[in-house]
Amino acid sequence: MSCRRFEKDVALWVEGDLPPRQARRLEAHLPACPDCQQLVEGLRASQAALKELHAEAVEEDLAAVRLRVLARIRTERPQRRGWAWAYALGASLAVAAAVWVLLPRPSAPPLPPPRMLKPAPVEVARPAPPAAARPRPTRAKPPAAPEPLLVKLYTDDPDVIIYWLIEKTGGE
Amino acid sequence: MGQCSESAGEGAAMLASGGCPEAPDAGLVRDAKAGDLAAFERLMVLHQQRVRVVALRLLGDPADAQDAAQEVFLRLWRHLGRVDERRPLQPWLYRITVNVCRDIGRKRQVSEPLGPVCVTAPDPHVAADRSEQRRILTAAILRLPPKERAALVLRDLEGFSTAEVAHILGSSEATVRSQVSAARLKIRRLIGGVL
Repeated sequence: MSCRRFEKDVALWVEGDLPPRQARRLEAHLPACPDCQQLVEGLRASQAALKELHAEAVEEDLAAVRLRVLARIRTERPQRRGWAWAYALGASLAVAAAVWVLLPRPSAPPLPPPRMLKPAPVEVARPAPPAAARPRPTRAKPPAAPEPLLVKLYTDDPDVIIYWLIEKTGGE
Repeated sequence: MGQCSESAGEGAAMLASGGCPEAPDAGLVRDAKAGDLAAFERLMVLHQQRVRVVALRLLGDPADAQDAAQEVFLRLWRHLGRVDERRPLQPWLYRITVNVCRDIGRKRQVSEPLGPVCVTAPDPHVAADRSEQRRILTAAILRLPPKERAALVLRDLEGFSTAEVAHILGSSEATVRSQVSAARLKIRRLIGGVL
């Protein structure tokens, strides 16, 4: 049907894809070769049909794809974002718990914050001595039983959350 | 931008000049990276038509093409961090589309091999009408080896230059030229009788 030698070049030449030197060689050959001329015509027709195919519209509801993609993203996104938060929160709480449990504490129960029982009488002529004005600590209440510390650790699975209860032992 | 996504030929030309698609995509990609789903949806609206059509040409089956388009945009979302918003998004999307279609095609080949495809007109003496021509042409494209098919679809249907196709497919221009040339000759032989 055509020159085997030029066949591949013709297939590129019809769309301007042939490098200039090869194109010049083919263009010099074409006028004298009816087979190659026929191939050019055939390729032009098939290429035109391909271009028409490109223009063909997609008759589908493209919104359906978008909705499915967005739905998948919404289900994936909280987990992905939640991971960072879960790690950060879990790590922070674990560190806080460790510090709270391991730090040495005085054996005596902590004193409550100072509280004024009664305003000191104020003398106009002479200011009250500093000692009188100093707030006196009230009797310390017995320390309440320490409440356990709750550490919440998130996992891969949003349905699985690890709760870690740390009981306070007085730090000794 | 609408123009850019609707006409791949124009889009390809603009890619070469670094023009139209870059600026609008850049803002949308940046917003999507920040977690803005509306911006991401806009990106899908702009590109899904071409992604869907390319997938259909590569796979031949509308349902497979729809699955492919979905997977392409999911991959885009998951890998947004790697996308450089200063560059046009189209080549990246086409590369992912080709890869996704190749994966789907491999699975299908294993489970459901393509049956023989009729690529000749029912009566060779009667010219096929346009819809019949399209059917035959589509079948002929699907008969091509996958690499030749991808090169032909990107170069001749989507209008990318040889250099752009090489960039998208991760091969050399010489390889793309060879694939495109072989594909055009095969298509011409397969459909020559019905044109």
